[in-house]
Amino acid sequence: MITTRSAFLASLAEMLELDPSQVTETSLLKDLPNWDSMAIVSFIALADSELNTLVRASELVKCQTVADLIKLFPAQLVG
Amino acid sequence: MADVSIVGAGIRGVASAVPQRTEGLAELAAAFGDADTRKLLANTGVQTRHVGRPDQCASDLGCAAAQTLLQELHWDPASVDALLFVSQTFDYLLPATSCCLHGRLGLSKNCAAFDVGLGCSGYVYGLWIAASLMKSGLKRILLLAGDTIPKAVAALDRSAKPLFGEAGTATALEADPEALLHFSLGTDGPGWPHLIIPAGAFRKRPDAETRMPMQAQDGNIRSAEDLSMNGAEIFTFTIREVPPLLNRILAQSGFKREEVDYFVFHQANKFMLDYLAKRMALPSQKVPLSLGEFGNTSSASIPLTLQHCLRSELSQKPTKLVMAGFGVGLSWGAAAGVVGPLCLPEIQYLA
Repeated sequence: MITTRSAFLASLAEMLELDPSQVTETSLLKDLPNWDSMAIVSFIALADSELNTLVRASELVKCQTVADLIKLFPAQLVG
Repeated sequence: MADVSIVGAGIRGVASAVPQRTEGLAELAAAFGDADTRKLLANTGVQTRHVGRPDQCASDLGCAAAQTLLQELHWDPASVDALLFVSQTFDYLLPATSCCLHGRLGLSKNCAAFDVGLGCSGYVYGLWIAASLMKSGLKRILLLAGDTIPKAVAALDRSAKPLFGEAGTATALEADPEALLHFSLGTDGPGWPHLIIPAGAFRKRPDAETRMPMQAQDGNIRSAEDLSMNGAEIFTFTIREVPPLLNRILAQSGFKREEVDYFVFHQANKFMLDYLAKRMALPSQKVPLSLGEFGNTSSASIPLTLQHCLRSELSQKPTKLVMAGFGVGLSWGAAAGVVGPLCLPEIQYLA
């Protein structure tokens, strides 16, 4: 399970097949390479399996930055 | 709650037909480029799809399958009491395609015929309806299920073009006091917009505007008369509803998870099926996949998978199966039973 912000960033980078340095909290999702419709589905799977959360597609669409993604998991990601 | 067990409807055989013509990675690369095509393949798992001539309908494929099945079972067409046609790609807005098929198959005037307008969940609904009709006194039922969704997909829609194929199937059911099938069915009506062809029927009649391809919110180019699919919503729906559905059908049937020989799912896409299998702790060898060769064939995908992947086993011995279809509607259904041995002719490839 992912329980920290740093672990979340690392998992997101791995999911997107990016170097960890390319994925920070201030990264804009639209500028992240590989953040496409397939990545969104992969992210929903990641959230379900590693954060025990079913993310609604309607919530994801409102996210502009990686920090917005982190805000989807206030109880799970501490520190 | 639509969780029921029905005695008396035995499945006797399944036949399938697909167009001989295929589309594959070369066609996708021409439309989307090599790099995107590799990503699409990784997500969908679909190497080839069978896509027929523009005038080749799901009813043509279903009819060929049904004719073969009637012959192999030595059933007189006049002995069939009801014909169901499950599809969302009908020949006409009206009459019902099942009536057209009734004529083509030479069935009796005393035979009932009607269409069932469901896709991904359609085959399970079809089995449930057929079993229920059998309980009301019918002796022999033909259940045809098939779709030609590629004909409703825009050429440059990368969310749908790589995914869908065409197929038609026929399942023969016969009254059998020893047969027992279990069902669990459900609907998420508010999810209706997530998989839709918005125009062309009666909510929005077709016109020059509905035919115009436009760039959609997801970046794909399609018209209002083309299929539109919100992959993220469908995936969330699947994770939310299918694991509980599996638990309900196992409870309804009394089957233990480890006793089930195969879990035959609607062939939505490989990423989704792999994730579901992992989520529900199902060994991969118990989750057969036919979508690599045939793609997502909508209402045909479960029977096609039975034939393509399990023909040897199902034709020789009783097999404990759970079947589950989920998607367009949003609708879902699971069926469980000990099935076989079945008459399972080879898949037909039609010119």
